[in-house]
Amino acid sequence: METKKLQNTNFEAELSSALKSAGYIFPTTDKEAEYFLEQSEDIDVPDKYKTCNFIFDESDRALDIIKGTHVDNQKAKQNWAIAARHGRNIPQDILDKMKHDKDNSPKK
Amino acid sequence: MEIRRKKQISDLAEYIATEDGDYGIPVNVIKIAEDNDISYSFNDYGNYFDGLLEQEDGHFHIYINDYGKLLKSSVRTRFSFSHELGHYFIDEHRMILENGNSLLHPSFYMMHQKESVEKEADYFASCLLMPEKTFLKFCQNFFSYEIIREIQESFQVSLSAALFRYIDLGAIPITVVCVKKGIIQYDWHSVDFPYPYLNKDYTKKVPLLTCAGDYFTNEVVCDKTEDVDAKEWFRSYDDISELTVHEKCIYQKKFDTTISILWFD
Repeated sequence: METKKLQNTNFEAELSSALKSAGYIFPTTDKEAEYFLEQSEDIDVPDKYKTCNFIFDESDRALDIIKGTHVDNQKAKQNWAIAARHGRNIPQDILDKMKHDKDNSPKK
Repeated sequence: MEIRRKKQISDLAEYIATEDGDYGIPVNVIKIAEDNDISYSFNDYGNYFDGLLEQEDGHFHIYINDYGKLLKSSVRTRFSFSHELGHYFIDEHRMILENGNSLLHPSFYMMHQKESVEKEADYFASCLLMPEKTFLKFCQNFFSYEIIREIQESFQVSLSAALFRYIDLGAIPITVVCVKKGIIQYDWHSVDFPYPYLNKDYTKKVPLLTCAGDYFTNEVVCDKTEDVDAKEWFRSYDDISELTVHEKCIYQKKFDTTISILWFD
């Protein structure tokens, strides 16, 4: 019975790991990445990427791509959100108490 | 929760509890928060929540409701604290909070999604407080209630938390039945428990000739583990008439509730 339970529990994880190691889905652990690299052929880095000068070359298209993926984090710096266990709507007096406790907590 | 997701969360909690720092057994959950720059406070916050994780301007703070009486070391506060750590460490949860969206208000999520988020945080808490590798050292090739007691004491967790983890990881398949006022409320069993369906009809009344049934019918308390005719608990199976099942009944008289643990040799 124990063996059957282990098989059921591990099958999906083992399959997932095998697919990652073979490169069919993205590897997520060092071991999977190492195995994937062992199976892969080496590919030479193009000359222009052998130094980091291309980052500062504004005529290079790669710079535009990098600019395009930049995300402004201001929104995350000015927000407030909560996750509560067994939570209900919290009245103002409790919110005030929470703010007081937070302001006086050991770490902030 | 699907098996792959459980494995992901279990691996994450195992790593944090045992490899990311020296947090010992029972796991020092407060130190985990401190090491990750999460501030916290314990206070009486009425009946509005058990625990709450707040994200403000990129900083996280955990509030734990001690209801004016619970100690920081109590099993309930430890579990609530670990649950909130789950919302922080599980990427998908933290990213929602970092984007300024709360997990509290039902209008934000459909109910089943909200429940799954809470279940994931509960499962994380269970795995963080009882890391798998250490937990397995407590699982022998036999089962007795003493094993559950040892787990409770060593990991500083509640009876139900210890039982759920044992159902998930234990070597011996068990079934746990919760009965309140003579009515079966819940039952859970290991995936490989041989008789997964209880003997209950639409009334959900507890079977009479069991330890739990004896308590609600005759107020008889069994201190020890008893052998009960298996057909009392699992009548719908043809091959069960000669079998006995072990039943350890735990009585929570304050709540008029019993918890029965059932297992076979």
